[in-house]
Amino acid sequence: MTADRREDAGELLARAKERVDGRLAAGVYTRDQVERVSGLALVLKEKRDFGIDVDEGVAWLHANWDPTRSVEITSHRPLVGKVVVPAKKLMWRLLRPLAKLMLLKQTEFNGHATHLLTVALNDLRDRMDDRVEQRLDTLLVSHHQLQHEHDLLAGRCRELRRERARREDRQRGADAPVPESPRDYLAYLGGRQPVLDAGCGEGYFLETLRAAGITAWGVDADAGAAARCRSRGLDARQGDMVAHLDSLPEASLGGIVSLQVVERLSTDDLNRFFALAHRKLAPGGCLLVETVNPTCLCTFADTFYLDLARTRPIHPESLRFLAESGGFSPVELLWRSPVPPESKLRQVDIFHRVGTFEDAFLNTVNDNFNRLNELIWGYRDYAVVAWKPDGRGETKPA
Amino acid sequence: MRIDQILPNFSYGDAIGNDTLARRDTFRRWGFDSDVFAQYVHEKMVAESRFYDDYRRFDAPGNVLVYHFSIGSSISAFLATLACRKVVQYHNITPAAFFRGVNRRAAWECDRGRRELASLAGRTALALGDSEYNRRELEELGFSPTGVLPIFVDFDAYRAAPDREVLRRYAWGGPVILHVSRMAPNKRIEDLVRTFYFVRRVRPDSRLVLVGTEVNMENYGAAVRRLADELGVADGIVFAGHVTFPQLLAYYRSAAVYLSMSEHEGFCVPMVECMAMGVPVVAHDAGAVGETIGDAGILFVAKDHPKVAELVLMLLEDKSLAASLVDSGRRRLECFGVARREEALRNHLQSLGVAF
Repeated sequence: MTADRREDAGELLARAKERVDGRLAAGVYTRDQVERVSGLALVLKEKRDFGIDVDEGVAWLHANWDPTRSVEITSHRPLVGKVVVPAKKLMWRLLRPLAKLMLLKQTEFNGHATHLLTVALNDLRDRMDDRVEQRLDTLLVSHHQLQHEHDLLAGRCRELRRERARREDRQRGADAPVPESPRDYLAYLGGRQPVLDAGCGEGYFLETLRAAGITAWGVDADAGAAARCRSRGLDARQGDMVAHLDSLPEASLGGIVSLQVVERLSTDDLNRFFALAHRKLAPGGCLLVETVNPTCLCTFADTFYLDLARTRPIHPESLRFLAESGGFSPVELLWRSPVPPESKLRQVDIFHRVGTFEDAFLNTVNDNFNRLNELIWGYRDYAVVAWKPDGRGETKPA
Repeated sequence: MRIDQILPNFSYGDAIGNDTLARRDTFRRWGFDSDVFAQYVHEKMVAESRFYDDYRRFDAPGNVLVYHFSIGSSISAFLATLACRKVVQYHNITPAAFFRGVNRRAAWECDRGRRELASLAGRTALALGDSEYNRRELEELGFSPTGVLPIFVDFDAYRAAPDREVLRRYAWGGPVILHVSRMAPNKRIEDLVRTFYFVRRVRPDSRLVLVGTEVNMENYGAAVRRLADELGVADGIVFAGHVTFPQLLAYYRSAAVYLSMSEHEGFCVPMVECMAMGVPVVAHDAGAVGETIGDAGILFVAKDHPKVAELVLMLLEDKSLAASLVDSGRRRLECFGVARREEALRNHLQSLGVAF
């Protein structure tokens, strides 16, 4: 209903809408159902084939192009067939020369057309193959060129990365937070006092503390060492450092320092030491524990076993874990005593580019050297610096 | 003088085949020599046609050749080599977009057809569309001059006896909602199914009969079936497939309403068939549907499925409304009658300078 009857159509549509509202109100169907039915998508898989298999079609043509070819004459009738089949065969034999003559042109045409189609198809395929091969060649050449460019760029990238690492190392050496002498530990203690040097030995760090004007005393199991300290005017006591710590009033210390000692403690003592350190430090107090770094393999060859009292090395992460589980936060690892470069494997100098392969080989060798250097000749010592939270937040002192 | 016709597929019993034969007879009646030249010919049409290449023997600047265009073919290239006056009769090509994701070959063929059609612009003495909608497409492609000549439908043939078996099958039971077309995505068969879901909520005895071949669109047909299953209406839908002409007549006879949700039609022959068979139509107003059905059907623009279902139900309930549409249809048939059509054809030929 259009044109002159458009009003009628409008009215019918309005009526249809009213009826739909009525159905919805009566519960014939729900709005959800309306949405579901309208939104339900048609799911189908695209039909891509063109219906004909070209090779099969050509094979059929080759089998059937000759209308006068011999055909197999059979019959499905059991009795009549015995008569009909020989008769038909005879007829076919008699008529075939005539049929050949009559269908000569058609046979010629069919044969020619089939032949032409086959030749054309093969020609087309050859041409397509040629084109594909040409394109493939072009693509391969482009691929090799790109590969070469990529190798050059990758080499350059590696050089830049190494250069950056060297620059960063140099910078770290200049103004690094890594303390290279016990004096640097003072910064971590941040002027808190008093400080206990647990296992003070010959009292070298006590001297540093005294020079900085920090109230401190030491405790060491070796009576001789303690006596020698005292002879230099340092406050050093002979005794078990864990027992001594236990005897101190709670939250009475500003800092605890223990250098090259924890690797001599039993596991129980180690645990007690960290627990007691937390109790005896005042809020905001600092615990600083230094030991030999077992992730630097050369320490086993020279440093660690020189001292018979050292029982076992402690992995940096284990010590960090002890501090953290003891309630310290934050906890930092400081890497100390780097092995000097002359003790490490030297890198191969690449003066000029010899070729992609050789370049890659030399870079690999150098990468391997770097890894080996890090593993064997890294930092001999490390220290854990741990702060007791001061209750106002867990920020370490500036 | 000759007025011939040329086409890629000369089929038996389809709209374009019938139109071509009817036109040839008209040309001959008017005293012109006229033949049909075709590339692929149905065996029943062999006697009525020649191979398209034969036309070269008759090619002369004074002659007229009508090219029925509904698909791309090598005839377009052949046409470019001829000296005669060429008339394109455009039966429309479904835009390839409808077939993308459904049938790659069909999409490719539609694309090719549209490209070929565009290449004919400027080479024709006249370009005719089956509908105003088709004519506008020709004009947009740059054809000039253009005109409208509806496709020929032989109404007398619809007076033949319908298939008894089909009539018997649908004589009892609920109302039949009919759709006739090949299974193709532009026909939006899935929207018929969705609408039928709401019809069934009110009339559980109603049936949706889909007449038309599924060849080459089997995947689309299967998807529509799956949708019907999912909506729980599959038992009410009949996929009748390809049918004979007497069977088609019987389906029209059995139908209470004809429903179309198609989104692209260049003419839509079933609309005219409905007029001839007295079936009221509810149709989505797309392509040439509106101008073909005129006031003999209820048209809607928005595809609101429950609302469309109500339009169908109103026709099932309100006999006087259905009857008024059928009456309008019968009157409207005259627009597609032989007299009107021959007059239009004569005018078009005269505009080319053909003397009668």
